[in-house]
Parts: sequence; C-alpha cells; structure tokens
Amino acid sequence: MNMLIKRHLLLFFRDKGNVFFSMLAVIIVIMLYIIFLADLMADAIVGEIPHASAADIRLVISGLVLSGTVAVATVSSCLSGMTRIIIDREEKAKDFFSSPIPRSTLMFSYVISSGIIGFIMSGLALITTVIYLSISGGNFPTLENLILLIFTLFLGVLSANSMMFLLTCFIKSRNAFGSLGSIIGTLIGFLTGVYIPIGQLPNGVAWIVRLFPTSHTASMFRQLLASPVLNDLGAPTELVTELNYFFGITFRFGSFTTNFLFSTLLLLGTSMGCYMTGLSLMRKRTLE
Amino acid sequence: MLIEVKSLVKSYGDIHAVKGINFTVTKGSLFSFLGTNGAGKSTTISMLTTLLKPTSGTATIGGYDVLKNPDAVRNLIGIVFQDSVMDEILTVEENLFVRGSFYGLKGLNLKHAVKHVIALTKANGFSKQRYGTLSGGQRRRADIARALIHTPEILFLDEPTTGLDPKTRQDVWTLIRNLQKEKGMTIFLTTHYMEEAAESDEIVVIHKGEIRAQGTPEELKEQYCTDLLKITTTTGKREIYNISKTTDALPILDKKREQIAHVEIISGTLDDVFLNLTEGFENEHAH
Repeated sequence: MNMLIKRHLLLFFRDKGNVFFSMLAVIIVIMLYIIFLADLMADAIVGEIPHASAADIRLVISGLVLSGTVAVATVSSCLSGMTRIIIDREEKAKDFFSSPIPRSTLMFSYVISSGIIGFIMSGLALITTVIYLSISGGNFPTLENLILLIFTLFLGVLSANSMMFLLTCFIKSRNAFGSLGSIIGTLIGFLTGVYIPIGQLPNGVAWIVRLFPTSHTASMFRQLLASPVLNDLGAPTELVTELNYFFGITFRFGSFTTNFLFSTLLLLGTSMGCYMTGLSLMRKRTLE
Repeated sequence: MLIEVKSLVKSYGDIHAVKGINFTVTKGSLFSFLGTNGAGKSTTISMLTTLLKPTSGTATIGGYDVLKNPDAVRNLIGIVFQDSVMDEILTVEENLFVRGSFYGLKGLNLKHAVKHVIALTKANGFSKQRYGTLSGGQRRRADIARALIHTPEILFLDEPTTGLDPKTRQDVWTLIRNLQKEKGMTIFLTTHYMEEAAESDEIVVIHKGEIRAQGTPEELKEQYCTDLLKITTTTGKREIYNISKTTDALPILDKKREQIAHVEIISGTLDDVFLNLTEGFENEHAH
C-alpha cells in the first residue's frame, strides 16, 4: 500500500497545474478579501466599537477571513486528491483489476493519499495564515493554541476528506467530476460563511451554513485565530457574543451555542458516517 | 494444457458476444487468437484475465478457475493491453515498482524483479525516463516489462504491434519470440497482422462469437484457401485457375505445355484464410 500511496502523491505533486487548481478556490477567496471583503466586514464592526483601533479591527477581520480560507482549503485540496480515483477508474481499471491487489487496499490507498494531500495543502495555507497574522501585528499563537490549530487542521482534513470520498462514490466520469469540482469550488466559500458572514445571510441559508461540517472547521479556526484579538478590543460582552454569531465564530442552534468540543464531535461524527457509507458503497461496486 | 476453455458464454441481455466457445492452449506455445473487431476477441480475453464474469461455461488457467480462484489466475498471467496503462508522469522504473507491489513483491525482492524485467526487455536505456516521453517502441517494451514483473506463466498480448513502424514492430516481435523460445513462456496473442500469426503454433479464428477454425497455420491454409495458377500463353492470353494445392497445377501445365509463355503460382496466405473465414460467413448470413 505504501508504494501505491507514494504513486498517488507523486502523480499529484508532479503535476504543477493540478497543485495550482486545487488551491484555486482559496486564491479566489484571498483575492476577494483584498479587493473588497475586508472593507465590507470592517464596516460591520467599526461603528459598534468606536474606540478600537483600525489596525486591530483589520487584524480581527484578517483572522476571520483567513480561518475560513484554511477551512475552504481542506475541502478543495481533498477534492483534488480524490480526482485520482476517477482518473484511475477510467484509465487504469484493467491494469489494476487484473492484478491480485485487494480492492480494499486500493480504496484505502486513495483515501489516505488524498488525506495527506489535504493535510499538506491546507497545512501550507494555515502556516501562511499564522505567519501573515503575526507580521501584521498579531501575537504568535501560544503553544496550546498551536497544538489546537494542528488538531483542528487534522480534524478539518479528516472530515473534508470523508465528505469528498462519499461524493466521489457517486461520480462515474471525469467530466461529471470536473463539473462537481467547479460547483463545490463556487459554493464552498458561501457554505462556510467566508464570502458573506453568516449574520448577513437569510435565515434558511444560515441554517445550511450552520449544519455544513466544514463551517465548524472554520468556526474552530476562528476561535483560535480571531477570538483572542476580538476579545481584547474592549467591547462589551453582549456585543462580543453578537459578533461571534455574526461572523460564525460560534453558531446558535435555538438557545444552544456551539463551542470547540461540540464542533470537534460534529466533525468526528461526519467523518465516521461518510467513510462508513462510502466504503460500503464501494464494496458493493467491485467487478462489473 | 495451460488454458482450457469449455462452452464459454458471455451475453449482455439478448446480445451474445461469445456463444459457447471451446479451445485449449498448450504450455510453452505461441497461440494466436484472430478475429475482426467485434468478433468476441476482447470479450474472451477479458474473461480469461478475470476482468469480466462469464455468463456460463468455464475457463481455467494453470488449473485455476477464473471465476472461483481469480487471484491465483492473476498471479499466473501478465497482460500487455492495447492502450498504455502506465502512468505518464512517472518514470518506467517508478511504474514498475508500483505495479510490482500489486503482486506482493517488497523490498529487495521488488528491486530485483524490477531490475530483472528491465534487463529482459532491454529497457535499461530509458528506465529512468518518464513513460510519457517514450517513443512507441520504448513504451511497448516498458509495457512488456510491466506484464512480466511477477514472472507470470503466460503472457497475453492484445495487438501488441498495432501502430508501430515496421522496424519497431520487428524489434518487439523478436522480443516476444525470444521470451517464448528462451524462457519457455506461453504467449497468447491477438493481432491484425497475419504474418505475425503465421509464426504461431496454433491459431483460433473467432467470428461473431463462435470459433470458425483452429489449427496450425499450415493446416488452416490447406483447408481454407486455394492457390492461384496464372498462365500467359504464347498468343498473349492470360488464364487463371483456382487450385486447392500446388501439385494440382501439374496436370493443367501438362495439357497446355505447347502454349505456355509464362507461369506463376501464387500460394494462399493467412490473409486469404482470414478473409474466407470471416467474409464467407458474412455472405452466408446475408442469404
């Protein structure tokens, strides 16, 4: 299996175009952020906390958007990683299935390699984010937060990978997969509340964002990267709570407010559910 | 017998791709499987190589049933597919390492196996090159190396020389012949080139899912095609006779001894056999 995983990884990373396009959704978010998202979101706070400095507000906004970006990266990089299943099914099925390699080994090799791709690519996005926030005036995360960041990254990739795996089980052709990729690339920024803060979305859409697992990855990152600065702005507690809901730092289900532990469990549950369903679907579809 | 096929059938609903065929392949032989496109050739090979489940009938390779014991069969067979199945952006060597691992080869054993097949197919010169940058002939060598990585008993070659230039075709062909003669490898070949089939020990012609003929190239020529006798007379007239064997020309020549200016005998080829067997049946069905 090691040899197979190495193959999948080599095929991904040797194709520079592939690597670039896997990060396209992320690059688009960052472009939008530079062009207008930052100003749009800053306006929402500036009026509320008049005595906060513009630089600090900017830092909060950067933390919020970049957290979302890393969450988006977990999905788009895992989706790119999964492309290998589709390509191989079209081109290499004869070669692989006429050899005695167990189907399960083959399946696991795809899931693991796309997880590794997801971890490396969104890990790069996270490192860039942490460095950017530090040099633009923020504090470098504490050791505890650093460990929690890596934990969140791992969990985010695990769940994003499981969801992309499940989706891949339903797709047969490369064309269909390409279309799916464009749709996800477009939607993912909205689904995780990155393009538009959840507080500005109509109620129905906000519910989708709240239920979408990757939003919880984003929420966990926001708690680690944006909350420390936001909490220090000197705003009243009620306002901070409101801003938490508005920017998707935490989510509200009726009277329940999500926290780090809740999101962790939700992501773990998603991963288990998607992997199990995906594997049983794949098992049914062996020969013919 | 290394391969035994008994009443093998493959149907897709009402469409019968293979209609109960029987044949055997002797160990160490060069076996050619001929047929036009859509004759059932690929379907049969797919069943033998465990890629397709037969509707009924049995096929065994080395005593193992393709349906009941597919993994044992898979360890015995090496396949060179019509189209390339290696990874373009990996080197030949990398490709071989990955494929070798499919057969449980690991560490030093895997390394030796890769080295061995590279030497065997004379692929040393380009083994560190990416597969996608290779010429047609080099690709074919690499494909054969991949098929041999687990030292199979039988090598399936599905139109291995299609699309290659004559010189390269000859090189690839020499390599295949050597594998059979020197290594005692059994070769199962499909080809469109009759001169390649002519060198085989046994030929089976399949048409519309049924076996039309089988035997050695000589037997098939004897049975399914005629020779042509062309005579040009002293007056410049040309006469053409169909004769079933070359010696049949003698009485005709005897009779015309006085008028002959020029004589030519054209013996039947496997092409004729093939055309007679496939087109002949086509016409038969049309009536």
